[in-house]
Amino acid sequence: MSFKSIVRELKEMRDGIGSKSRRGFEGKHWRSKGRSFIAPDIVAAASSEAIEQGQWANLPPELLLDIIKRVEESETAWPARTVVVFCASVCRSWRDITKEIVKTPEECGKLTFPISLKQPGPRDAPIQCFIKRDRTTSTFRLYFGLTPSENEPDKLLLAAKKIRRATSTDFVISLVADDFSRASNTFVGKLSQPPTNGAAQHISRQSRRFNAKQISPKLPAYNYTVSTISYELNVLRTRGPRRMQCTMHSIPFSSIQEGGTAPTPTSFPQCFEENKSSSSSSSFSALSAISNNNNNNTNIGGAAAALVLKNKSPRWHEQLQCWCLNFKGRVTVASVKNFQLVAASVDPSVDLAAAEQEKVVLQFGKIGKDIFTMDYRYPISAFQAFAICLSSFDTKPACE
Amino acid sequence: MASPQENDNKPETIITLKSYDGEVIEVPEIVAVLSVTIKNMVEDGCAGGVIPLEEVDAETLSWVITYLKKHANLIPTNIAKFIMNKRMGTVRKLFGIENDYTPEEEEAVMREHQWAHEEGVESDED
Repeated sequence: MSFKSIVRELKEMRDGIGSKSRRGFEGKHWRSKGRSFIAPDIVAAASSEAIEQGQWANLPPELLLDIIKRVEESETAWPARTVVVFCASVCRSWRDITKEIVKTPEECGKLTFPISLKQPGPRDAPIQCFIKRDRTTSTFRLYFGLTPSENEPDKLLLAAKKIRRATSTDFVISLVADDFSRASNTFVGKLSQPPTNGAAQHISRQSRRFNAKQISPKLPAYNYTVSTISYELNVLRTRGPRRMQCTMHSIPFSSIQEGGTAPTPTSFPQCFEENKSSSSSSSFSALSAISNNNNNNTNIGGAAAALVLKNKSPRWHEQLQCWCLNFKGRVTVASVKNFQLVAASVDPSVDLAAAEQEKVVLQFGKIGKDIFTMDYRYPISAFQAFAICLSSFDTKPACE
Repeated sequence: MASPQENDNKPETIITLKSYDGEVIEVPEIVAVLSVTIKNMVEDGCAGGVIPLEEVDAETLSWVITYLKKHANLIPTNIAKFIMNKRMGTVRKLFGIENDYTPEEEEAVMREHQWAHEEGVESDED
């Protein structure tokens, strides 16, 4: 095989095929979405004449690595970044190479695979997203980007559907907007309210609690509570700001100390054979263990304790006669739902640097009718951030 | 996703070329073997030392090297562009690749594909 012949053939193909782009997969088991554009088969016929089977077979690994690197470096924004997912779909060796090349959101600030949504955001600056609420279908969609774009389709990251039950409200969270079935492999988790009993009713009028759970439909052993979110409504209820507290069961306090790290899963839980060891299953076992420990043993203290996030207290603006937070332009409409979460120090024996206390880990707020911005950063992930924001949509006290 | 990989520490193989008037140029092997002449010499076992090019002067050699480097850069870029517009079956055929995923891996790949092409469009829009 000669590289000169490859170059010659590429030129022939480029001239003959033109520049139609396609987004579809062959094979009946691939489900292409309604919006995917499939080029007419006349083009496919022309190209298949020029292609012999396996004529680029046995490509040197360093060349394949180079090709995939170039693809990854050139297609940084969505929707073009689908091609990186494409490279990871071809076969095992391509997948391994692609997964080695692609960096985590913490390292590069980019979201590439669904698992990116479960990995912590960047340390230096937040990943900026927005949420669209659809009241008619009770769904919420999380998109990547500053604000809805006018000309291009926005990249959907996660979708949630609100389900009202007799005594509580749940949100089911999925990777796609048209399938919230718990049996589907796109189902990722839910937000729910733990049951309240009669004796606690007087408390429930002034507070709300939610559990955010990550769920693997076929592997219930890997289900765990990601966060417990509680709201304490202001005594003046309709006037003052409410207080929020989020206990992040899978993230230790040490993650925000010098040299600390947050759990970074590398894949969704998968069934493995008994004697096969896998870093992803062990990373999930570790996550479950941390969260189980934090759920069961509230006496864990120090740096190993679960990270707690609290909302920054707004300041009363005497002239404007309202409560204010500095959202740095990312929130433009006043709403009781708007909040900024920062790390809280709950154990006096551990140090929390002043700089860390000021960092806004999650910011959420309204910019228009049914449109909200969501900016998140290390140590939380997009999934955790979205679940926390969803809880903000259902905190009307029962007595109102 | 990124973790230390053995290839990161492996030095790329360098070929040394010498023109007839004594100019010595070092070139990565992956670039040098774009020339069939050099490739044949490498395969014949000359790569250990210096490859002498009896009929090429220094100036010509430097032009040739510039040309080869440009094409080495173009090839991956062109292949990348080519891949970006193709269907999965076509790419697999081209590279002589079989789908070697286990059912669990296939499921993960499908999940990624569904998510990557998801635009969250309202169901009543086209």
